[in-house]
Amino acid sequence: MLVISRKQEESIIIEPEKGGEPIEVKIISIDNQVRIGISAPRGCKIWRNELFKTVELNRSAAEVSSVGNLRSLAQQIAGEHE
Amino acid sequence: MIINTRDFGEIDVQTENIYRFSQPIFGFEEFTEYVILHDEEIGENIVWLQSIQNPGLCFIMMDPSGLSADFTPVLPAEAHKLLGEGDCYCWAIAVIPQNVKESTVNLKSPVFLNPNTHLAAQIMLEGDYPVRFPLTKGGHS
Repeated sequence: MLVISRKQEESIIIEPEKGGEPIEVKIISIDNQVRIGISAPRGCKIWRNELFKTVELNRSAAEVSSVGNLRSLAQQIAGEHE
Repeated sequence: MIINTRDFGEIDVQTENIYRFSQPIFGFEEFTEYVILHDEEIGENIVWLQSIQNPGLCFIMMDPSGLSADFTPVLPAEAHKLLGEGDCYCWAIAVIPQNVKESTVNLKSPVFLNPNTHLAAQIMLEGDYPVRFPLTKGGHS
């Protein structure tokens, strides 16, 4: 991981490859917590890390699962609880 | 209204049965209207959360009660702003791979459905719950 020291009101720029629009990450205030401002192109989604795990799982969950798979899963769960 | 579904073909849905997500499924912000579907053979503990707007978008959800004695979900105080007043159903989104023994549910961010208001939301709970809770004993977390 790249580690950079910044003071309040200072920012960094992340420039994506292939001419993508840059993303600015600015330190708004430093107290008990750090407040961060992010300026990113439209369509760029920004997630808290702990929420992004759920985003990834939701995407996996939306992948096609056949009803047959579900039947065998339902049977296995029912069998374990007997 | 007739809608197309991923796993059940065309079905007739009563508009009053549609749930509107005031806080959408994370990562799927463009889709806010869903209906709950059952399969009689599979039973009441598993439901389909079928998108109204996108026939190909569907989530399988499990009833988390009984899965883990440690799971006692408490809605955050501000949740009634998203869901309205009244008791809500709690469902956990499942990830079901080809090898069903590796199936998991997300107990950290369940889906809450309010049958009184027909508002819904996926909400990240404050408790320390697993995002990949194994559904079968052969599964690993």
